[in-house]
Order: sequence, then C-alpha cells, then structure tokens
Amino acid sequence: MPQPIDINQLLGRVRAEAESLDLPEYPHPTPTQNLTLHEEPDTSARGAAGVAHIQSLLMAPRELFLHEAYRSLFRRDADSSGISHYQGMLTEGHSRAEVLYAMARSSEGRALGVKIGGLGWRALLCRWSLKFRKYSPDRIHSALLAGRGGKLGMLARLIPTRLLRLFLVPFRINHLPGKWLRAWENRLAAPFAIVGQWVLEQQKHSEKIIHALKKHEEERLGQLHAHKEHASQTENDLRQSIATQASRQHELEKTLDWLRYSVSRQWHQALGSTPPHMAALPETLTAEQEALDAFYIAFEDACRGSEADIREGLLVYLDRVRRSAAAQGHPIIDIGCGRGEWLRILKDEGFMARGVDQSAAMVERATAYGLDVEQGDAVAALARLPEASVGGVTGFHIVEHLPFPVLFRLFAEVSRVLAPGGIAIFETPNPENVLVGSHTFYHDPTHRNPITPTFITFLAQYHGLAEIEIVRLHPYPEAAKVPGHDPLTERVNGHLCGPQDFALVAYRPRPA
Amino acid sequence: MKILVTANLAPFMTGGAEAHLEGLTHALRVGGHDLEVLRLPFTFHPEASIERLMGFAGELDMNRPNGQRVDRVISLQFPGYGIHHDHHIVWLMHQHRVVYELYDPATATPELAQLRQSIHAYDTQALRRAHALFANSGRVAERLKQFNGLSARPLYHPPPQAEQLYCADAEDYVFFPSRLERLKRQDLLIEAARHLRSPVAILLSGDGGQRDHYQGLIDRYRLHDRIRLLGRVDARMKLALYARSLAVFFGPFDEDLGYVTLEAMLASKPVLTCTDAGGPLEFVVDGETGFITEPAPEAIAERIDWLHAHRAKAADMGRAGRARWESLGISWPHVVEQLLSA
Repeated sequence: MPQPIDINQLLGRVRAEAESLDLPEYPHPTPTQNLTLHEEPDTSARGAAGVAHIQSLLMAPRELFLHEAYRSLFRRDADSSGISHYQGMLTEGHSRAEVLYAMARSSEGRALGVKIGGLGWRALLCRWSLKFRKYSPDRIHSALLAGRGGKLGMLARLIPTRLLRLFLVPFRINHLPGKWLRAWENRLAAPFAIVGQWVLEQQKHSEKIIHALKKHEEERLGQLHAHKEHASQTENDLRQSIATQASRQHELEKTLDWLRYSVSRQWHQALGSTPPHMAALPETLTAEQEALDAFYIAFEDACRGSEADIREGLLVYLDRVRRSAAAQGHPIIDIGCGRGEWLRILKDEGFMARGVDQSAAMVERATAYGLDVEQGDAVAALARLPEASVGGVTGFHIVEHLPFPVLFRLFAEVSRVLAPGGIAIFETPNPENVLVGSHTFYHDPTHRNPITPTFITFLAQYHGLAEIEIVRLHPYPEAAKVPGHDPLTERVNGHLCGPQDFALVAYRPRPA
Repeated sequence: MKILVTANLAPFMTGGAEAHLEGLTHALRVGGHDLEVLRLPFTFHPEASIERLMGFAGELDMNRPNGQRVDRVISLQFPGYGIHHDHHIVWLMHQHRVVYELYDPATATPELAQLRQSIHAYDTQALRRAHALFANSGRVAERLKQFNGLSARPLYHPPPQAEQLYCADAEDYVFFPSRLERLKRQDLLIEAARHLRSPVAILLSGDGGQRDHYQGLIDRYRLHDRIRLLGRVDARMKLALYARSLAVFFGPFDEDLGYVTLEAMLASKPVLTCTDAGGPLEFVVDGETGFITEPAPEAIAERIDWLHAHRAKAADMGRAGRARWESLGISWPHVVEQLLSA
C-alpha cells in the first residue's frame, strides 16, 4: 500500500490553523500556554523517541504540567483539545503517572515511540487504571440511568438505587491504582514541592523587583526626556541668537562698506574733471601709432588662443554678472574690449553691453560683429558717464598696461559710474606664478608692471568697492607639474605651475 | 414577547440537549424576546422521583404566574411539556426513552411498568393539549406517531457554531467526528482504510466506549500511519478539521438527525453516508452533495479514492452541499418564527 502520507505533519498544519482561529466567545482554555519553564529541548532528533523521566515532570507546577509533558513526550506545544482531554483525566482524579502513560499509549505517542522512564512496575498500575477507566462506578451508574447497557442494563435498572450502589461497590477497585499512584507521586514530589514553593516565591520576588526596576526606569526615562526637551529648547534659542548676531554683523559690514564708499566719493570730488590720458602721445605720431597698432594686432593674433578657449575662459565671469541685480537693468562697459569676445557673450545672454578700445582696427572688427563699440580712451569714456549709471565695468588684461595715475583714476571712475550693487571685474597676469612674473609677463612690450592681488585689492577698497574676491585662473596642466606631494614639490608646483592669471571681482556697496 | 422555555437539568450530565437549549435561548434573545428558562431537576431513579416531577409539572399553571403575563411556553423535554399554558408550544427533542424504544416488557419491574403507563398517559394527554407540536427531526416525529398516535411537524435547527464553520483548501484526509460508539460505526471507515488505494488519511474525533476497540482495530491492521483517533477536540480544532477535510464520512446506523451532516454541508464538504444511516439520508443527495453507499468497506473506500482522484469535483460537491443547506432555509430565525407563529 503506498504511504506517502505524513499524518503528523498533516495534523500539525490543522492544529496550527485551529489555534489561529479567532473565536472570542470560546475562551482559550489554556491561558498559561505562552509560559515557558525552560528552553525548548533539542528537536534535532525530531520524530525520535521522546523519553521522559517521570520525576522531572512531577516537579512541574500544576498549570504547567501538561505543557511540559507535551514538550518532553511529543516534542511540540500542547494544543487546547489535548489539554482539555488530559486535564479531564486529572480532574477525574487520575495521577500524573497515568496521564503520562496515557499520552505514551495514545496514537501520537505510539507513532513517536514515546517511553516513560522511572515508572517501573507501577506501569502495570497505570495500565490497569486506564484499561478499566470506563468502568468507574459513577460512569456505569449514569450510563445505566440514561438507559444504556442493553439487557444487562435493563436488569441492573431493576435493582433499587441503593442496592445498585452497593452492587457497584466492587467497581471502586478501579480507583485504587490512581490512589496508590498519587500517594507515590506525593512521596516523590514532596522534597521538590518545597523547592518548588521556594522557586515560586523567588519568582514572585523577582517579579516584584523587575516591576520596581521598570517603574524606576520609566521615571528616569521621563526625566531624561524632559532634560532633552529643555536642552533642545536651549539649543534652538542659541541657534536663533547666533543667526541674529550673524545677520546683524552682516548689516554692520554693509553699513561699513557704504560708509567707506561715501568717504572715497568725497575724496574723488577733489580729482580734476579731465582724466590723465593713457597714451599722452603727440598727435604727429599718428602714422607711427597706426604701425604700432598693426604690429600689436599681429602679435595678439599670434599669441591668443582659439576663440573657443577664450570664450570658455570668460564663462567664469558670466555667472557673477548674472547674479548682479544691477547688471540686469544697466549697461556693462568692457574697456579694452579688443575683438569683443566678451561683449558677444554678454549680448548673447541679453545684457546691454558696450565696449571701448583705443585701437581703430579692433573697433572696426568688433563693429563688424554688430557690437556697440566706441573708439577712445577708456578712462575718458567712463568720465563722461553719469554717476551710478552702469551695471558693470570689466577689463581683461588692461590694468597691467596703465601707468599708476591712470589706473588710480580708472578705479575712481569705476567706483563713481557703477550703480549700487554693480560689479567690477579686472583680469590680469598673476605674478604669484614665478614664471609669469619673471618671464611670460614680458612677452608683451606694452605691459608696464605686474599687478599683484594685494595691490589691486587695496586699490579697489580704497575706492570704496566692497565684497572683494580674487579669482585665480588658468593653472598649468597637471602634466606640467613636478610629480609628488611632499612639501617641497608642492611649493615648487605652487610657485612655478600655479594659476597664470587672476581677476579682481568687486561690487559697489548699496546704501545702508 | 414574554417567553418561558422549559427543559430538564440533570446536574453535571451534559450532552447534546444543552447545546440545543443554548441555541434556542440565544436565538430567542437575539429576536428581542423577554426570556426565562425553567429547568426541572431530573433524576432517572427512583421511578417515584419521575412520578413526582411529572405530577408537579402537570399541575403547574404558567398562564399568569404571580399575575405576570406569559405569552408563550416552549418546551423541549419530558415532563416540561405537561405544564399548563394556553399557548404551549412543544418542540420535542425526545421522549423518556426507558419507557419507549428501550422498554422491554419481559424484564420490566412492576414499578417501571406502572411508570410506563403513567408516562404514556401523561405524554398523550399533554402533547395533545399542546397548542402546537414540533419534532426535532423526522425520526422523532415518526416515533411520536408510532407510540402516541400524534402528528408532529419536523423542525430542523442549525448545529452549534454554524456561523463559524468555514471551508478551506482540502488536505488529504477524510474526517469523521462522532462519539466512538458501535452505532456510529467508525469500524466501517477503519475497515475501508484497508482497501484505500489513494494516500488519504482518516481522522476520527470524539471519545466513547468503543475507543479501545477501535484503537485495537487500527493496531491490528497496522494503520497508524493512516488513521488517527484524535479523542475529544475543542471548538477550534473541530472547525479546522472540517475546513481542511477532503470529505466528511458520517455513516451511523439509523441516526435521528445527526449534526455531522449539517456541519459538513456548512463547511462545504461532500458527505459520505450509507443507505441505512437514517437522518443523513434526508440531506445528502447521492452524486451531488456526496455519496450514499452500501454499508460496506469496499464501497466506501472506492468512493474515497474517487474523491481523491477528482478533487475539483469533490470541492464542487461540497459547494453543492452548502447550496443545498442554503436552500433548506434552516436557521434559528426561521425556527423562532415557526415556533412563535404557531
């Protein structure tokens, strides 16, 4: 016969489903089920014979006995049906030994090959008791009264009730095994009962302590919580006050910037209305001047990078111009605009951009691109503009061409013509790079002196410009650097291969 | 409505009568009726105690006790149905069996013979006097006709936990819940297991006098891996066992009614029963909601094998059984309506 049925697994599944059913009107008969007396025994040998020694189970408290018995004998948790069945036996007055014996003799017990140790000859008593369990006088009596028992029952019902009781007395013998076994169990368990009592008391005591500890813990947690809340409140206050301080400081700085600017403007009043001319060359040299211009254009063409490179180099400034609110509504003047690469970028971005260049040839080229460019002296051109009428003044590689008086006047004019918040940008070779300062600066014969970041920063501040930023640009490529990261190499690379240009970015302060 | 329900109480002897009474009182309370349950202390012996109780009930008038109006009296058992009330409704569970189907004139004592006479007279008079007479099942009505010449209308009621029975995907086992008694014939199913060709387990729940006998059979045939006597199971386990079964076997001999048939139909499970099973035959439609076979192990095994091989059809039969249950309209509200409209 094919036997692929695992009836224990099948029952396990049904039992699990039964236990999970929600039947509120049928109170669960095993409220102590989730109590665990000790760890689950090793179930690796599942299905192997459960062997339980009776003594170990005699110690279990009454409400845990059956759960313990299920774990030791059947290696599983008790189900409520089983509990109620065996609880019924205990209630009828059967001993624990008989219950364990009955469990071992049940189908599940037999299937698992369960053995009860420590019973000895008393197993015979259990057997007797279970065999004749159904012949208990009470059961027979009620069965007879209910009309069962066939012909014999009929005869028995003929006997008057008192006599019938007498007649049933021999059946009381069936109570004896249970009685003897209970006495035996009591003798065995007596020493354990004391220990059990002690354990129970200890358990109660521990529970009390745990309760007290929990309460204490809760109180402490409450306090901690309050402290934490207080601390976070304080922290918030602090943050707020720091923020307030910072904003106040910022305002103060702004005011200071404005004051400085106003002072510098006062001084500018003293400057003459005609700026010093940049070239100051006699008119007669015009022919010669044109020849020089031609040379310079040729020179620039030879040295300048590609249009794309130039464009990319200039994009660094575009962001800053975009962020300046003043540049949105006012024109941007690029002095020494050359071919007008920057002007084209500005124009493409929608800014009003105007250029000034001394070279007629350059102006011609720029105009050819449709740019608004005038020929002439930059400082003079700025001097003609009304105060606060320009969003930005830019000059790329201009300042290093100017004698100091002209440069001084240039900054004075920039400071005057910029609208509040207007931006000034001047890019120049960076002499912090030793090779620039000693060598490449002198490629251009019209260069005068290298301008240092320190000097130009001071010059801008002196003329009341604020929020000054030095942007260092165009370092040598990584490949040109000396390999290594030790301090000496770093320093050599910094001085020889660092940024070749820098730009001053400054703004005209707003009125405080 | 103010309703007085009468029934007996034999202390600590619980049985199906308790569940029946509980179901009725619950349904009446749910129906919004004002209810009192009058339980008469019943002792089987001596005969004189029954005589006394009968006399007591027969003289009790519950029309206006202490001036209180009682609209209906509903009685389930002997001798409560003898209580006087103008609108007394009897829903007979069973009569006092010792003086009816269990009575043997050859062995009867003079006292019992005397008792029999008085009970027969009492029953005939009281039941005739009743405003309306219902029987718990067709069989009970038949007996009433046979012994007392009275006609009663069978009125069926749902088994306890009817609303909680449910159906789930079938596992491979046949379930047979019943007391382990000879008349329930668990041995038919145990013997059938010897002829099974399919891997179907058999789970028997319930306890009783034949437990050892049936366990002995299982041992002798070495069917431990296939059959398990589960003993008495609790409500949850019963529900789960019904829900997961492939089919329910219920083949007692000449059963009065049998909750098992109804419970299996409620759980949408096909019912296997036998041609001589009595009550179940009123419900099972052969080949539609289950099978009715000869009371022979081979025939039963064949049907179980078929159900295993045709699981989808088995499930369909179960659903048909449930549909049949729905169509029968057996419900407590219906019972209450029938009892109170009579």
